[in-house]
Amino acid sequence: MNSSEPYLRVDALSKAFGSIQALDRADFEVGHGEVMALVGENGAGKSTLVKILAGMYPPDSGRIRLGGSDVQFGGSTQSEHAGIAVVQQELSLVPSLSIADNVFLGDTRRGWRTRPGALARAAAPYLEQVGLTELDPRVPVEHLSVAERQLIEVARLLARDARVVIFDEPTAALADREIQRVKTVVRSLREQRRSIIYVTHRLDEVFDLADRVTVFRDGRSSAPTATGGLTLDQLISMMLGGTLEGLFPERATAPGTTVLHIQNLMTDNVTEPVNLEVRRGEIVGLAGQLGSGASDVLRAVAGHQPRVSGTVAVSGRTVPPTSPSAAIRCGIGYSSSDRKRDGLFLQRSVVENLTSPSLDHVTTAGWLRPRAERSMSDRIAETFTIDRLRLGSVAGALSGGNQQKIAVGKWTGHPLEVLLIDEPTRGVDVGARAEIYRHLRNIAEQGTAIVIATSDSQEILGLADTVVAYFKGAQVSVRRRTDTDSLLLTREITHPQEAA
Amino acid sequence: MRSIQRVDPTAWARLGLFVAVFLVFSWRDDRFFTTNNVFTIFEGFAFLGLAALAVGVTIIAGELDLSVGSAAAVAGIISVSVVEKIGLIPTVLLATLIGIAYGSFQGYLIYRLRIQSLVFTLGTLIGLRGLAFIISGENTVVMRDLEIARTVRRQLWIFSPFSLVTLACFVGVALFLINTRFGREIYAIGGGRQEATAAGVPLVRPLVMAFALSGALAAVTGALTSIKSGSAGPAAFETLLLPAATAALIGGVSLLGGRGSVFGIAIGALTLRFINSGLSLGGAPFYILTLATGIVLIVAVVLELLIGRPELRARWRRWRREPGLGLRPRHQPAG
Amino acid sequence: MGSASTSIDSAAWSWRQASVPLAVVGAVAGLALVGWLTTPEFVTYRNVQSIVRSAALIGIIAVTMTGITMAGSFFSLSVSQTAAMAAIGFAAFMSWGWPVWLSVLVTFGIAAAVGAVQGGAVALGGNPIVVTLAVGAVLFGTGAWLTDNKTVRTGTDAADWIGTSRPLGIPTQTWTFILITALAATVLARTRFGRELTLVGANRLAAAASGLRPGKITLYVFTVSSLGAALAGIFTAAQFGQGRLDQFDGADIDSIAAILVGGAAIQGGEGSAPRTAVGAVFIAGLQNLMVLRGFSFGVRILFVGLAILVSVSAFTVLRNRRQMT
Repeated sequence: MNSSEPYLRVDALSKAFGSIQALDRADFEVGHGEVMALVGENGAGKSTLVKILAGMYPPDSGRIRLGGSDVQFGGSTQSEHAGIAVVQQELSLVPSLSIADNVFLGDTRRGWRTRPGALARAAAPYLEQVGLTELDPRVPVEHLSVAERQLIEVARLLARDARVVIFDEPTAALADREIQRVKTVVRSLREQRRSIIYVTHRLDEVFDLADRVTVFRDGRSSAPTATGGLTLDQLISMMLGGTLEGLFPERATAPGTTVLHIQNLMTDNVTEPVNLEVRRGEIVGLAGQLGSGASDVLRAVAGHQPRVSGTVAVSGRTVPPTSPSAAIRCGIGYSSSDRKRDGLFLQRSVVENLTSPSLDHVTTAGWLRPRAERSMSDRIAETFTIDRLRLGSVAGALSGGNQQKIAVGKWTGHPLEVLLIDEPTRGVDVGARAEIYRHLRNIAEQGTAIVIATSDSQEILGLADTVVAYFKGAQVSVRRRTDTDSLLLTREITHPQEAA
Repeated sequence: MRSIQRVDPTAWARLGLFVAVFLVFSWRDDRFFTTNNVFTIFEGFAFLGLAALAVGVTIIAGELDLSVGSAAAVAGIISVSVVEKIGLIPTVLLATLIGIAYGSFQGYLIYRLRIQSLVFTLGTLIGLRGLAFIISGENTVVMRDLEIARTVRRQLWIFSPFSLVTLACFVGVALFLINTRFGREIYAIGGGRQEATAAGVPLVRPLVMAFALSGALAAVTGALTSIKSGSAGPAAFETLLLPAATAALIGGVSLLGGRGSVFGIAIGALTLRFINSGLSLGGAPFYILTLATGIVLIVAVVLELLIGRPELRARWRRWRREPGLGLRPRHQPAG
Repeated sequence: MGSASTSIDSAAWSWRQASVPLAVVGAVAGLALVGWLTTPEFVTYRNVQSIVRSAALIGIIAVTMTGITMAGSFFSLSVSQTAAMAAIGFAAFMSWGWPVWLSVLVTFGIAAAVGAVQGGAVALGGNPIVVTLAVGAVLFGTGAWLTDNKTVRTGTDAADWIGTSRPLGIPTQTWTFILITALAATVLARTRFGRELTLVGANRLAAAASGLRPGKITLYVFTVSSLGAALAGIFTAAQFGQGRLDQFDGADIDSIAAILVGGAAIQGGEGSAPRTAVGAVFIAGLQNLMVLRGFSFGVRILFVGLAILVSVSAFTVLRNRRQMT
C-alpha cells in the first residue's frame, strides 16, 4: 500500500433495523489507488455499509471521513457529489434508452442539451475506459448482456467522476469470460488512483484483485488485512462466526421413502443436468451464492420457470412442467425468495393469505366455508406461532418474520408432499429464524420432504440433513450433513477448484 | 462496431402500413391525390396529430392523460370568446399558457399524491367538461367576425396556418424530446421508473413536463380547431381520446411506456387520416369512420400482443435472468 | 415482538383498515346532512326513492363492473356501447315478433360473447383501457351501420312491464339494482370465485403462484360486466319501447365514477359491490340536490368531477399511509 492516509475512513459506524443490529461500531477504510475487498456471510452488514456510504440510509452513530474531512450524507445525491458511487446489483439502466442516454442519465452537472450525436461522442471516452469500444453508443441498452450493462454502469460513474467506486457483488450473475472484463476495468480504475471497494462472495476474486480485505461478521469489522500474506483457509475462518447454538432443532426420526425424484433437470442458469432424490422427513439444503443455480432448480421444479429438459416426479407421479398450479396439484409447495413479489397478498388479511393455495379444501360447490377457513388458518397459525388475534389484519401490517411464516405456512393448509423454500429466513430477525427452523423440522417430521435453497452456509449446516453445493450453475457435491463442515462447504460454494 | 439495429423493426411495418393505406386509397380514387384533398388531409392531420401528440407524450412517460378532450373544449371556448378582442396570436399563446399551467398543476398533483394518472385524469375529464358548460353558458359560443376563422384555414398550397402550426409543434416537441435532458427523462421514467430514479432522475420534473406538454397541446388543438370553425361548443371533443390514442398506438408508442417517437406519432396520425379521408371520399357516413378507427385500434392491439409482446417478454426475461453468453444451458442428450 | 405492542398494533391497524369504508359512509352522511339543512325536500322518502331510481341503471352497470376493477383490470370503456347495443338488439328482436324470453336470452348471449372477447384479449396481456376503447368504437360503428343510425322501435308493448311496472310501489330497475348489489356482495364475499377475483387483483403473481387462474378470472369479470350493461340496455329499451345508439352516452364515465367514489382500489384487490352502489347513489344524490338548488348543468358536472377528484385523492392518500410504517 502506497498511501499514508486512507482516502475514505469509517469509524465506529452503527445501524440498527428494529431488533436487528446490522452494523455494530464497524470500522472501514480504503486508500487512493487501492482495491479493498469486503467479504462476509449474508447479514454480516456489508450491504448496510454500502447503503450508508451511498447515502441511502443515515447511520445511527459513527463518523465518515472523506479526503481528510468529516462528511454526512443526507441523500444519495449528496454522496454522489462527494464522489462516492455504487455499481448496484440491481441495475439502474433504463432498457429502452440508448447507451449514451444511460451514461448521462440523472447527471445533474451536465447541461440540458442532449443532441444524440454529441451525447454519443461525449460518452465514447468513458465507454473506452471500461473496454466497450465495439458498441455504438446510440444502441438501446436492452440489447446488451448483463456484463456489458454492468460496465455501462461503471462508465456512468466515471462520467460523474466518482473517486470511490463500490462494486456490490458485480460478478454474481456473470460468466467467466465476462468476469475477466469486469476485473480488467477494476484494475484500470486502480491505475487511475481511484479508491475501489469490492464486495464479493467469490473468494478467488479477493486474492486475484484486492490489495487488502476487510471481513464483516455479525455487524462487526475485522482489521484490514493485506491479501499477500493470507491463505484461503485463514480468510474463511475469519468469515465464519461461532455456531449459532440452540438456533437449530434436533432431528428425531429417520427419513422414509423417496418422494421427490429429479432427473437430468436443465433450466436457465443451470449448466449441468441436476439429479436429486429427496425422502420423506428429510430436509435437503441447496447451498450456493447468487447466480449459482440453486434457486433456479427450485423454481423449475415448482413450475415457475421453464425446464429445458429432464423430469420431475412426486411419489412416482410425473409433475408437468407447465405451471405452478400443475405442481401444486402434485403436492408441491413453493415459497420464493421474494415474498412481496409473488408470495403474499399484502393488502389482504392473513386468513385469506393462509388459505389461498388450499381453496379447494375450504369450499363446497363454489361456496366458501368460513368455519373451515377459520379452522384451517387457526391450525396453521398455531403450528407456526402466528398471533391468532392478527389473523384478521392485513398481511402487510405484520413484521418480516411473521410475513415469512405466512409465506411458508400457507402451504401446510392441505396435505403436502414436497415443500420448496428459497431463502427461508431472508429479512427475518434471529428470534423468528429459530422459530421458522423449528417449524420446518416439524413439517418434515410429519412426512413432508423439504428442499431449501440458501446462500447462508450456517443455515444449511444447522438445518439440512443432506447438503448439496452449487457453484456457477453446476452441482458440486452431495454430502450427508455429518460428512461436511462449514470450512468445506464455504469452499465448495465460493471456490470449488481448491476444495476438490 | 457490433451491428445492432438501432431502429425498432416494427417501425418498418408501420411505415409499410402507411404507404399501403396511401396507395390503396389513391389508386381507388383519383381525387385522392389532388392538391385540395391533400390539403384536407393535412387539415384533419393537424387536428388529430396534435391530440395524438398530447396523448402520446403522457403514454411515453408511462402515464395516461384522459382529460385531453375536456381540456381542448375549455381552451376552445376561451379562445373563441377572446379572439376578437385580443387577436389571433395572443389568443393562441394565452390558450397554450393556460394549457401549460393546467397540465403542470395536474402533473404535480399526480406526483405529490402518488395517484394513478388514469384515475386522476378521469376526475379532471369530468370536472373540465363541467367548466366548459359553465363558461360557455351551456351554449355554443360563436365568433361574429369570421375573417379570423378564414385566416386560420386559408389554403397555402397544401397547407394552412393551422397545419403549419401543427408541423411546428411536431418539430418543437421532437426537438424537446430528443435533444434535451428533460425530454430524455420523460422517456426514462416511462421505460423504467425505478431504474431512472436509481440513476438520480427526480420523478417530479419529467412528470410535470409530460403533463404540461399534454395540456399545452390539447389547448392548442382546442383553440385552433374552434377558431377555425368560428364556434366552440361545450360538448365538443368528447370523442377525441379514441382517434388520438389510436394514432399514437399505430404510430409505435408502446403502452408499456418509454417507447415511441414524434415521427411515429405523425405517421400514425397520417395513416388514420388517410383511412378516414379515403372512406369519406367514398361517401361513408361518420360512424363508419368510428368503426374503422376501432378496427385499426384492435389490429394495433393484436399486433402488439402477437408480435411485440413475445419479443418484449423474451427481452425482459433475458434482461432479468440471462447471465451472459457463456452461461447458456448446454443441452444434454437425454439419458 | 412483545404481546402488548402487538395488541396496540392490531387495534391501530384495524382502525386504518376501516378508513376507506368509513370515508364512503361519511361522505353520504355529509351529503344527507347538507341536503337536510339546506333543502327540506331533499331528505323525503319520495325524493330518496327518486334518487335511487335515477341511480339504478348506472348502479347496475357500475356494480357489475366493480369485478373488473377489483380483479386489477382497471375499467371497461365499452359498457355504454354495450348497453346501447343491447337496447337496440332487444328492440329489434321484439319488433321481429320474438317472444320476450328469447329476445332477452339472445341479447344476453351476444353481450356475453362481446365481454368474453374483451376479457380474453386482456387476459392475454392487452391493456384493458385500450381494448375496451377499441371494442366500444367497433360496437358503436357496427350498431350505427346495422341500424343506419336510426332509432329502433319494439313496435309492441309485450315487454313494457320489464321497464315500467312497480312491484310494491318500487320500480323494477330499483329492485334489480338492489338485488344485483346484494348478489354481487354475496358472490364477492362468500364464494370461491369472489375470493379468487380479489386475490388475483391483490397480487396477480402471487395468485398464479398459489395455483389460482388469473386469466380465467379476467375473462369472467369482463363477461359479467358486459351482461350488466346489457341488462341496463334491456331495461331502457323495454321502458321506452325503443333502442337508440346515444341512449347511454357517458354511462361508462358515470359508472367508473361510482366505482371510484365507492373507494375501490384502482390497483385491484380491494373494493365492494355495496360501496360502489353507495357511490352511484351518492353521485345521483349530489346531482339531485344540485337540481333542487337550481344549479346549472355545467356546475353540476363540475361538482361531480370535483367529488371524484377529492375522493380518489383521499383514498389514495389513506392507502399510501396505510402501506407505510
